[in-house]
Amino acid sequence: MNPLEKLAELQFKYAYLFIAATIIVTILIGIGIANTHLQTDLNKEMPQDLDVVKLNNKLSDTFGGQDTIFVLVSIDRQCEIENSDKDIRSKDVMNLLSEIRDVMVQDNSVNSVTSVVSIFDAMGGIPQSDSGVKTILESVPSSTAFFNRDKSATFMVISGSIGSSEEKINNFVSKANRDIDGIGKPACVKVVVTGSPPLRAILIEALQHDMVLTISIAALLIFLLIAVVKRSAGNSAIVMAPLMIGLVWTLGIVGWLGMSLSIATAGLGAMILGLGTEFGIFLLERYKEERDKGFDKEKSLKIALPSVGYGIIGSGLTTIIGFGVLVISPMPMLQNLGKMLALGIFCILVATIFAAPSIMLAEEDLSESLVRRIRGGGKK
Amino acid sequence: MSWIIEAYSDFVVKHPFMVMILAVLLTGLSLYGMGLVTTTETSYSNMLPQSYTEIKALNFVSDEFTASGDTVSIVVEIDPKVQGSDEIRDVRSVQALEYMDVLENKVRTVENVVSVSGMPDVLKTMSGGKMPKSQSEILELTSGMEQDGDSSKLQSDSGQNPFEGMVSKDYSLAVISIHISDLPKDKQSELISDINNIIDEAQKPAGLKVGLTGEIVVSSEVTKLIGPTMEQTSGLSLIGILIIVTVLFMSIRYGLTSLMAIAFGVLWVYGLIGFFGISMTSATSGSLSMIMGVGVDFGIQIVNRFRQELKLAKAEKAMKKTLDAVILPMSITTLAALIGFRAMSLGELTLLADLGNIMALGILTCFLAAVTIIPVVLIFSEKIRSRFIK
Repeated sequence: MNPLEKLAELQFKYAYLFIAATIIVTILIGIGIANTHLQTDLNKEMPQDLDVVKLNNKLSDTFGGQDTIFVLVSIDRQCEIENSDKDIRSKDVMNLLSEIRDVMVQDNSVNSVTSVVSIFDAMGGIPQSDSGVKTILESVPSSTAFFNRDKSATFMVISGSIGSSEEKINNFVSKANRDIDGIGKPACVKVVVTGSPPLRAILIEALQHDMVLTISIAALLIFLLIAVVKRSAGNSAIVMAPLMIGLVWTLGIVGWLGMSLSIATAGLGAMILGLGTEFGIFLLERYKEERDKGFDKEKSLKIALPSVGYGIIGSGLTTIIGFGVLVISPMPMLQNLGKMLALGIFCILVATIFAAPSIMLAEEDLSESLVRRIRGGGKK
Repeated sequence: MSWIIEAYSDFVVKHPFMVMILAVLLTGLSLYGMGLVTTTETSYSNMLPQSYTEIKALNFVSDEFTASGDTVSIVVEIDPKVQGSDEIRDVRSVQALEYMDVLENKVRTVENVVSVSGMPDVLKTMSGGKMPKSQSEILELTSGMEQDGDSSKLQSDSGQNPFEGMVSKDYSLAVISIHISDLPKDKQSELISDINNIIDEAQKPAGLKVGLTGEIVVSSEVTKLIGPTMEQTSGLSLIGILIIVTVLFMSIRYGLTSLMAIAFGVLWVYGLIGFFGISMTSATSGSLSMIMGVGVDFGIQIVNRFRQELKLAKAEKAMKKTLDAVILPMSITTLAALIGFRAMSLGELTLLADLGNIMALGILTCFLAAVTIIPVVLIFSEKIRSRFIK
């Protein structure tokens, strides 16, 4: 007997056992989702055997990773206070920079802070008047590097070794923002903390946000598409079931294997939902076709699974190859994307062949039982 | 819906030459578009939308301040080849420092270099503007560095070790930091090439190893890998897929025919990428092999059904039945895939959106190639085959 036909026979006989096994396996694998972590360090996504990358890593190991943060202090052009100063070179702004510096140097991970204020350190401190500040700055030509052309902005450079972990980056950026927010600012002056670490902190949030958003939108739209085309929410649920099971397995295995979700793999869920849909559709379509011909459930399944199963496996394999070859890419970013997508398609393929038929039968049982209840009959 | 599909399948079967000419014209146009494809480096700022305050601030700092550009580093390391030889074993040696001084002076003359700093500058400042000529003098000036900058002798006015970040504690490695202006990608590559030329031309003392690194150097090297990566992954993907479809159909002819969907689909999508001005990055460089893996399914479905129908009817009629039967399910699965990929562009990560857009375009072009090129090729090949058999 054809192995898929044998499988269909078992699935018909032990449909609810297959469903129970699927639920247990899904829970066990799904626990791994808690272990998944995000990776936003671009350096780790670069080919580690490239000479320039090796040298860069060596520098980081020798001198500590140099993270550069910019604190931009500028005149708020949307400020509506009349007669407000349009020149950033005021004593209040210099005092603000001095306060920011004092707060930042207290952090152990900060190695150095550079700003225009260091000019005043050598000259007995910040003058008590705006004109005094301007006079000193105009006497030091190198101070122009700290101001833009129209003197509406200045900046501070903070160099530090924050570390590459997402938690450390988030903690550092949150603390810096909190500390700077806690300092009183002159009217119409705004302060923005930027540079690679703050952008990484945003990336971490964007990654989490995008993963949830893209999976939700893709799942909802695919569900609606199938429900409209098939004119049945139940049929749509049957197609969606192996997709969602496969998605949980994928993310769970990713967690159990200690792989990281990165910028490139944040769309993993949406992609595998979109690509895995065809497996369930072909199986359901063929099963319904056989049922419409008048065959019973067992015969319909025994015809449908072998006839579309090999096509689905062939088509899944070509997709897995297309994704899988990315592991030969020199970029870790692409290697991980390829591995995870190939794993995702594999999981949905397995879920479609092993779990979907039992779910299909259970849904039909449920529909029949509902119809019987509505009609008020209880006879089988 | 079905009348549209039937009308289309009628048209393809009755006018295969016209469909072929249209496909060839589209391919010609795509070849032109392919020439417009650009590559760009992957950086934190081009992964996120420009509307973020932090991105705007970073762009402002880059645009408005001369001191804000990037830094590249020349790394000088000791690398003795022969044990017991007189090769350099300490970057504080007179020869090593003179060599670094030469490099620094030459690099300063390069356009767009804002400042250069390294051990020779600090030593010159400490010894009244001249480079110390004796080893003992250098050792005296640099002594205490291994104490992590705690030595009072090494404290500058700002309280920091003046050699901080310039030399390793075991004196095996020294760094020359080159601060450059904010530059476009092509100018950055030019500058990197100029500095590399200086390194190659300067007479290097025995026992030293020199290299250039920094964020833009890494970025530039990685960008160079985009093309070869695409060729390598898509080539291997094609071979793997060809093997599977040939085994699946037990026929090289049908295997190759089913590959037409991805061969033309990839050409067309690459043209569209060029016309739409989407830049290829290291993250999207693998998309072509992914499109191939997904797009080949369309070819498989048409060829598979056509072979079944061919047992019952002649080529034209078999193709009409094939197209009538497969276009609708193919359209549904294409739509589902498009939903998945387009959903990626609804997030905040622009890199994800680019990948999603490229994949969505690729799936669409493979679908179009499958329902235009493959039917025509199958009809022609069947006619040729039957003529030979006769």
